[in-house]
Amino acid sequence: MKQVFIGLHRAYLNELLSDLHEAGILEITNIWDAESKLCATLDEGERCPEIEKCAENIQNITSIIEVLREFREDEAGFLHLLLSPQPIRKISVDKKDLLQLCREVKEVVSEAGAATDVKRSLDALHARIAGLQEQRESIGLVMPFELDLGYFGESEFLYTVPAVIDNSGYQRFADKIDNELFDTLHISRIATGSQAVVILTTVRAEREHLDRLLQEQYIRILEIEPFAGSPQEKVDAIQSEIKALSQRELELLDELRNIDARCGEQLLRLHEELGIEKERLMTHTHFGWTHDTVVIEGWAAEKDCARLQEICDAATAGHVFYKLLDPDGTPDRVPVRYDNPGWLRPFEAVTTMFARPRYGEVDPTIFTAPILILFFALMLGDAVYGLFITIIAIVLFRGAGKVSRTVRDVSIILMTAGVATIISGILQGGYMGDFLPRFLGIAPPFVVINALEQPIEFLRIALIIGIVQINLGLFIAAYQNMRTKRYVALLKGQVSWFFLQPAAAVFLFSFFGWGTFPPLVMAVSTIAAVVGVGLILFKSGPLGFFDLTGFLGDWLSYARLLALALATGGIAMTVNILTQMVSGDNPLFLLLAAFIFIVGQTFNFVLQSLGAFIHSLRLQFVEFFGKFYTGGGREFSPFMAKREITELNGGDI
Amino acid sequence: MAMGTGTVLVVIGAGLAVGLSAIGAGIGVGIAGAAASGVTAVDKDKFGLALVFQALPQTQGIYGLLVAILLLMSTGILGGNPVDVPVSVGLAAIGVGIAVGLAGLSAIGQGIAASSSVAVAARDPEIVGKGLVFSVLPETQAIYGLLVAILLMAFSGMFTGVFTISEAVGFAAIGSGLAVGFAGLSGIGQGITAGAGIVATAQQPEVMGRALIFAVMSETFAIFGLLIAILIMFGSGLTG
Repeated sequence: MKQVFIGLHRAYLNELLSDLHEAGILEITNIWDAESKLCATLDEGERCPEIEKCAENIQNITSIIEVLREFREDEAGFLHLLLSPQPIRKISVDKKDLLQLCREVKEVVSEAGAATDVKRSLDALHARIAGLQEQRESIGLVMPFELDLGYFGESEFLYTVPAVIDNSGYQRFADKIDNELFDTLHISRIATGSQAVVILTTVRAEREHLDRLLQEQYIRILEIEPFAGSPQEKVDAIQSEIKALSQRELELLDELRNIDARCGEQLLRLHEELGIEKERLMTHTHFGWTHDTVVIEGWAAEKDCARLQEICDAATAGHVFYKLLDPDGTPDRVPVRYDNPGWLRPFEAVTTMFARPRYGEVDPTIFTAPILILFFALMLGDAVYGLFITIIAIVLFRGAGKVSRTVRDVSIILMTAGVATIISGILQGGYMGDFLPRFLGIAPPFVVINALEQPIEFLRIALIIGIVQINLGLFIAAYQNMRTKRYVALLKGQVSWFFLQPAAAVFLFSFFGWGTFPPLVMAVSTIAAVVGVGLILFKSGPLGFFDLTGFLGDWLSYARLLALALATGGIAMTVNILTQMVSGDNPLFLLLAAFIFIVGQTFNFVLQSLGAFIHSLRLQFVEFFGKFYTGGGREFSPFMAKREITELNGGDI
Repeated sequence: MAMGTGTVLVVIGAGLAVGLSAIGAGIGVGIAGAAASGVTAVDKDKFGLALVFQALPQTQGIYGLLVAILLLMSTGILGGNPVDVPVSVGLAAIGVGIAVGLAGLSAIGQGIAASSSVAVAARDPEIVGKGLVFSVLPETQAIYGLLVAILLMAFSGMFTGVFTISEAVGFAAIGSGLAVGFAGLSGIGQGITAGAGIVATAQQPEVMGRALIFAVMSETFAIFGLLIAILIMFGSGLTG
C-alpha cells in the first residue's frame, strides 16, 4: 500500500475525479480528518452547491420509483431469486455532466410524474372501498330488524342509533340505563352468538347523554351513512359502487404499469447516475485547495500505482504532480486490501469474520482455507451428507451465484467442503451412518479409519493434526517477530515452546511407558524443559502457569475432531437402528419407519453440518489464530462508482 | 435371559448419560429459547436465525444420547445379541455415564452465551458468525466428557466385547468420569463470559480476540479435570 498525493489545476478536477471514480483504485482520505502536514498551506474546499440540486433530483426520482415498485406485479419470490434469478442487463451510458442529467430527469419526470398522482388516487380509492365494506358489514348486522335506514340518526324529535354489545354485558348495560332514568328510551335487541345487535331510540334531547353512556360502557356504535331506504337497497348501492371503484382501480393500475414500462428503466438508470455524480461532488470537501490547484490525498495498492499515474496524466494532459510515499510506522492508519489468488478469495470472508489483518500482518487466509475444509470433512465424515452439500452448492452456484458475488463465494466454499466430505466419508465408511451394512448388507469399500470402531486411532490423528496446526501458528508468529526484529518476543513467545514441546513429548512417552530413552536424551530434555518453562515464566510471571495449561487445552481441544465425527456417525446409526426397530411387515410401520429415517437423517445432516462448520471455525479462531494473529486492520475502501445496472461506454479506464 | 449385575450397571450408566445431559441441554435450550422468543417477537423474520442459536445447546443432549446408545449396544440390549457383561465393566459404564452426563451440564453455559448471541445477531446480521463461535465455546467441556466416555468404553473393552478389567479398575473409571464431569460445570462460567464477550464484540469488533481469551480462561478447569481423568486411566491400569 502506498500513500498518494496528487496535485492538479482545478480545471482538470472533474475530469480526473470522474476517471478515478470509474477506475476504483484510489481510496481518498479527507485531508482535514487525516491532519495532513499539507493542511497548513491549503484552504478547505466549500461544499458544492450542485449537491443540493443532485439530491433534489434523486428525491424526485426515488418517490416515483417507490410508487412503481409498490405496484409492480412481477416481483420474483425468494426461492425463484435463489435458484433462477434473472441476470441484470446492464444499460450502456455515456459520460454526462450534471446539467445533462438534470435535463434528462426533467424529461422523464414530466412523463412519469403522474405516477404519484395515480398513487394518491389509488390510496383514496382503497380508503373508500374499505369504508364501504365496513358500511356493508354494519348494515348486514341491522338487517334482521327490517327497519328503513332513514330512521337512523336524528329526526325532528328522536335519536336512533344501532350498536353491538356483548351478551354477557347486556344486563349490566340495561341496569345502567334504568339507573340513568332513560324513561323515554326504547331498546330493540337481536342476539347473534356471543353478541347482540341493539337499536336504541330516545328523545332528541337525550342524544349526548346516550352517546356518553355508550362510550363509558365501551359499546360499539355502528356507523351507517344517512340513506332513505331499506337495508337491502343500501347494500345493493354499496355493491354497485364497489364494483365501479374496482374497475377504476384496474384502470389506475394499468396506468402505473404503462408508466413503468415506458420510464421504469430510465428512472433507475438516472437514479444510479445521479447517485454516482453526488458521491463525486461530495469529495470536494476532502481536498486541499489553493487559488488554482487542488491536492488529493489517499491510498492505493502498490500494483495499481502505475495505472493511477496513467489516469492522472491522461485526465490532466500531464498538468499534475504525483507523489508516492511508503506508509509510516502507524499501521492503524493504513488501509488493508486482501491480495489472494482468485480461488482463495471466497475464504477471505472467514478471516474477515474474525478480523481483517492489520497492515504488515500475515494474512492467514491461505492457511485457514484448506484446514477449515479438512476439519469440516473430518468432523462430518459422511459421503452421502457430503453429496447433499455438493448438490446444494451446485444449485446455488448455478442460481443466485450468477448474480451475487456473496452467494457465489458461499457456494464455492460449500462445494469444496462437500467434495472433501465425500472423500472423507468414503475413507471413514460413513454413508448416512451405517446404512450400507445395516440395510443392504454391503461392507463399505476403501475404509481407512472409522471413528466409531477405532476411536483411539482417530483421536491420535486428531491430536497430531492439532499439534501440527498449533506449531504452524507458532512458526508464523516467529516469522513475524523476526521480520519486525522483535527478538525478545520471539524468544519468549515461540522459542520457549519449541524447547518445551519435544521435551514434554519425551517425558510423556517415558511416563506412560510408550518408549524408553537413553539418559542423554532425558538430560537434554530436562534442560530444554527448564529453559522453555523458564522463558514462559520470564514472559508472564506466575501467570505463565496458565500459559502451560492453555497450551495443553488448545492441543486437547482438537479432540473435538473425534467427538464431532463420532456424533455424526453415532446419531445417524441411532436413526438407522430406530428405523430398523420400527419397520415391520405392516405397510403402516414401513411408512412410520420411512418417516423416522427421513426426519432423523435430515435433522442429523443439518445439525452436524452446522456443528462441523462452527467447530472448524472455533479451532481456527481460538487455537490457531491465538498463536500469531491479532487482526483489526482497516478495510481499503476505494473511491469507486457503484454501477449495478449501468455500464459506462468506453469505461475501461 | 436374566439381566446380570454388570448389565444392570451399564443400563444405569446409559440412564446417567442421557438423563444428566438432558438436564443441561434442556435448561440451556430453555435459556436460549427465551431470548429467541423475544427476538422473534420484535422481528418475526428472525425466526430461523433464532432457532439455530436455540439448537446449539442441544448438542450436549445428543452426546448423552449417543453414549447411551453405544452403552446399550455394547450389552446387546440394543441392536445385537445380549452379552454377559462383568460387574467391572458395568462400573466403568457408570463412569462413562457420569463423564458425558455431568459434562453435559455445560449446556447451561452454552444457553447463556447463545441467548446473548441471538440478541445481538438479530440486530446486526454481520455478527451471526461471531455469535456462533462464542456460543460454541462452552461445548468444549462436553467434548472432553464425550472424549473420556469414549476412551473409558474403548479401554474397558465395550467396543470389542473383550472384557479384562478388574472391579477396582472399574471403580477408578468412575473417578475418571467424576473428574471430567464435574470439571465440565466450568462451562457455565464460560458461557457467562462468552455471553458478555459477544456483546463486547458487537460494540467493538476489534476486541473479539481479547474477548475470546477471557472466555477460554474458564476452560482451564475443564482441562484440569480432563488431565486427571486421563491420569486415572493410565495410573489405574485401565489402558492395559
